[in-house]
Amino acid sequence: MSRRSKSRKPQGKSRKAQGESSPPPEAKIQPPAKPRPLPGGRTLLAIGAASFLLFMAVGLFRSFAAFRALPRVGVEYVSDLNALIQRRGEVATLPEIRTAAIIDFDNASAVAKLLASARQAGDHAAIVSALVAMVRLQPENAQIRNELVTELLQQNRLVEALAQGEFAVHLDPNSSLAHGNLGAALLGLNRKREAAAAYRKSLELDPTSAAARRALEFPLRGF
Amino acid sequence: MAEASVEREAITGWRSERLLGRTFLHPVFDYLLIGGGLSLIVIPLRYGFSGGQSMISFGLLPWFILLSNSAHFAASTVRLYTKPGAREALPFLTMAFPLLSIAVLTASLVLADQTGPILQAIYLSWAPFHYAAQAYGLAVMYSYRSGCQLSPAHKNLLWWIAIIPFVRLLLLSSDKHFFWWFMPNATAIAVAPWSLPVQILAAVLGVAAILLPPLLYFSVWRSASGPMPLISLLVVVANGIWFIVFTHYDGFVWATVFHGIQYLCIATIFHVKEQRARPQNRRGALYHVVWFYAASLLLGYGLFNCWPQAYIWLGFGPAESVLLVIAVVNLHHFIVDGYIWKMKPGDSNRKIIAADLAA
Repeated sequence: MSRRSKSRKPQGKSRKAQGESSPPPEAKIQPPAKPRPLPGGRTLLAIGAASFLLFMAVGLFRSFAAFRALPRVGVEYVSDLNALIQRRGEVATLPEIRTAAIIDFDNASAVAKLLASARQAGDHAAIVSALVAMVRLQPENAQIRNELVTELLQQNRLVEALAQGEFAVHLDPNSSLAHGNLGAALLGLNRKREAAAAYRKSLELDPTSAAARRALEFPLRGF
Repeated sequence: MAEASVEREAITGWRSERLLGRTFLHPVFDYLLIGGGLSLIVIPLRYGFSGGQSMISFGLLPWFILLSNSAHFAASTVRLYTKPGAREALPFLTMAFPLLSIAVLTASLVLADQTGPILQAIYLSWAPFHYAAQAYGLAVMYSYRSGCQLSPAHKNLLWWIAIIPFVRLLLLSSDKHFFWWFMPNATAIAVAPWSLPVQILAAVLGVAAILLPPLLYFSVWRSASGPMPLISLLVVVANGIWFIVFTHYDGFVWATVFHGIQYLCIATIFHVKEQRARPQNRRGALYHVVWFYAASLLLGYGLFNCWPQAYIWLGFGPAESVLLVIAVVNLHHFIVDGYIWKMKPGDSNRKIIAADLAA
């Protein structure tokens, strides 16, 4: 119910003439300006109304044909999506879920579902997009960021892994995994001295870390 | 002495009448449902009895959304087509805009991955602005009908104060609006260099959204306009509280619920007054109330629940069918609303208020 436009854009008339602030309204009512008729307006309206009614009829028909019921009440579409998929006896396809997560970018459950489906399908690009979306939704969650770094390292996307890895260490300085991941990214970029320091920190935080021990023994020996 | 006492009583009576304002139905109804007073009672009770949980039952939520929120979206369309003179005054909006909306929706479904996030971000960004604009509109309308002629400067100030919660939301809830695209990929809000200034600014805006409305209220009172009705203050403060006191998720939930109720009430009141003012009207107020709500409910069910099914039948995915229908219906509602509540000379809105004032 916005009334701002009339008060901000007087369009050639004073604000008082526009309406809302003029005293004794009954005394100042002016005849309304004649609007310009819309050519073919009635036809457009008829087509619009007919299209809408057709959509409604098709929607009802589909619901009756598929579920023998009226369309469900509810707009929480992740549940709807699950229900639709279950009722039609199919499994949600990854593109279906990916589209859901792309559009509904602020819905954590859609993104979580995308991540689960991507992992099930072994689609690493989709796993990374889901984790990136999760990082955006929970930027201070070190665990999710570590998962993203691990996935980026597996795909040899080292520059991105390094950027995310530095954030992960900043968010959780006591995480052996975060330091280990950072070490791996640095090692991949051939920054051996910094990599050795990161691995040493990782080993200090978790003396059982085999990955850190292995890295310090072989590629980083002497650094 | 007696004369002075009578005069004092008259002034006191006039002040209390001005403070309460000229309500549409009854002060209790207007203050609770249109002014948002009910939210200030229900929300603390809800939190008090649930240990901080905003939701009683997720099972009931879809029904509540249908009865309140979906119906409120549809109510703007119902009002657009039942408002006297709307088709002549708004030819594009009434005749071409529905078809345009259907075309935009269908086109965006074809390119869902590209257009979907844009539509989603636009409507999520617009929603809190829409709530703030409604609070401003109601505050001005109640002032106007209660005989408080706000000066242009006060109206401008009221508008800026009313939209503070929206500005604050833009600043903080970056995952809910179009700024999302401009946020660096590896941003962790708490460790970003701009984090502290943003938090300070948000805190200042939060305090301003609650404190400035009463300050403006007293400024208006001391001016030639005289006091605004308290409902004008309440409606702006309530909108601020929804978005400032609660986390952004809970804020959206509460604002959606109470904005829907607020809108349905005011739209129904205007519809009933318009229909009863028609010379050929033979029906009572109850008939028009039931008719308006039933039409809004039916259209709301059709829009949000049947329409996506049609797109799924046409081969589009369930997610984009549901999500983009919601986005386009929201945008249609925001745009229609920007026109149907104007108080231009000769408009039925203005006639209703003028008639009430004359009465």
